[in-house]
Amino acid sequence: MSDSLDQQLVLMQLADSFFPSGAYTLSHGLESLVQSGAVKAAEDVEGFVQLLLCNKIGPMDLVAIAHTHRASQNNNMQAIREIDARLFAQTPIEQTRITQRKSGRALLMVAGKTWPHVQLETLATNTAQGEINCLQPIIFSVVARVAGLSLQSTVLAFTHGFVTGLLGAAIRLGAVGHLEAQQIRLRLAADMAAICQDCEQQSLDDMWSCTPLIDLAQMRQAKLSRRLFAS
Amino acid sequence: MAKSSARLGIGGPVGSGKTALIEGIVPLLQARGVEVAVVTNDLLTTEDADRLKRKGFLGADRIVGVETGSCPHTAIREDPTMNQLAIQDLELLYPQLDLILIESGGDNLASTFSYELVDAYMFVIDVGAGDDIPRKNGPGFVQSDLAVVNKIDIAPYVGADLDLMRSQSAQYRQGKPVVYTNCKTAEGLDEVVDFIQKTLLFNS
Repeated sequence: MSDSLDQQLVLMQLADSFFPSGAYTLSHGLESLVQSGAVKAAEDVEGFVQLLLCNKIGPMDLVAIAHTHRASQNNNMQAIREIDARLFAQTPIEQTRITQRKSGRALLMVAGKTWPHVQLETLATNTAQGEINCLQPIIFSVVARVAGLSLQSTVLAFTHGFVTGLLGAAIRLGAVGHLEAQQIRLRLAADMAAICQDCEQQSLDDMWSCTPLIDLAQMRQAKLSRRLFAS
Repeated sequence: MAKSSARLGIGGPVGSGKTALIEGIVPLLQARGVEVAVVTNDLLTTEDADRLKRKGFLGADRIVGVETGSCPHTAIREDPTMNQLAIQDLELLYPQLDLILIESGGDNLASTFSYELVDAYMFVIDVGAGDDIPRKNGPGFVQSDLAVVNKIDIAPYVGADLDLMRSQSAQYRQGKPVVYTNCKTAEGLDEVVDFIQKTLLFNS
């Protein structure tokens, strides 16, 4: 069943980089790689985004999002807290955990006032009491679900927001131009679609990520003396 | 409900003296018994925060740096969520706070603050950037709650006509307050603090 026009508008609202949740402060390790010279040209940026999509966002974040969406549908807040804890446990880089939590809190703050819902209130209380890590993919999934998005639209919105946010960061870091960014975005469509489809079948035990070079860059990012981005 | 502090934005172009202004007014505010903390958005991350910390007049935990992904205006207007989180965290840590200053990264004359982030904001320009700044009608300068014209001492050396700036500032701001300062000698800073007490703390 296709989304109604209302749902499509919500999808665009949530996927839009105009939506305020602090995403423009994140480079996901790209700033550190640009500073060290590891990423210089457009093809490096494309490889970087592709690696994150296929080796982290798809097999980990989207799987967590899919399970969270179902748990939210079943109003199972305990399950949501457990998925959040698992995602936290599988995020070994401290800076990533910090920024995921900050983005999650920012999203929850804005979404709670835009789409008031008891599940979002519960998440805010849980966060204040330290019962949930409030990681951004988890919060995004609940927000999208209570705003009326299907699972497929939720993972699509998340993936689109992630890619455009990252390409925006790449432009501001001087690693790509505005035209190259659009061309990269278009070439990544097949990967974006593939991970959005694959995530639905995965169990939580199947969650994995493997991006060692980017993880190291994330660790160095926290120690850069001059930086523009929080990650 | 927990007490909420007043929030004051400080915007203005690069090098106009935003950090120097904070360095000047924080001790004056403290002397008047005001509990202060600072959120700073410098483009180069914690450089401004470090500069304030080195001065030592505020505890290091009361100065928080927020990265803006090279979008200083976004962080104070279109998407101020990261600054809001920093404010929330400061208020939890220091429930006694009366005032939180939010220092924008240096930007152009069009940068304005969202009133969903701050209760009021000041816009700092400096005499050395040209005496035509007031008549450029930049939204930041024209719309701010207080305009601060800083570095008035250098006017003779940079060929700036301070009298012209005074008359045009009054004209373009249509009666909204303007203060003329020299942060090096603290000239004018009491007026800034008076403005803060009257407009934000309601205890002038």
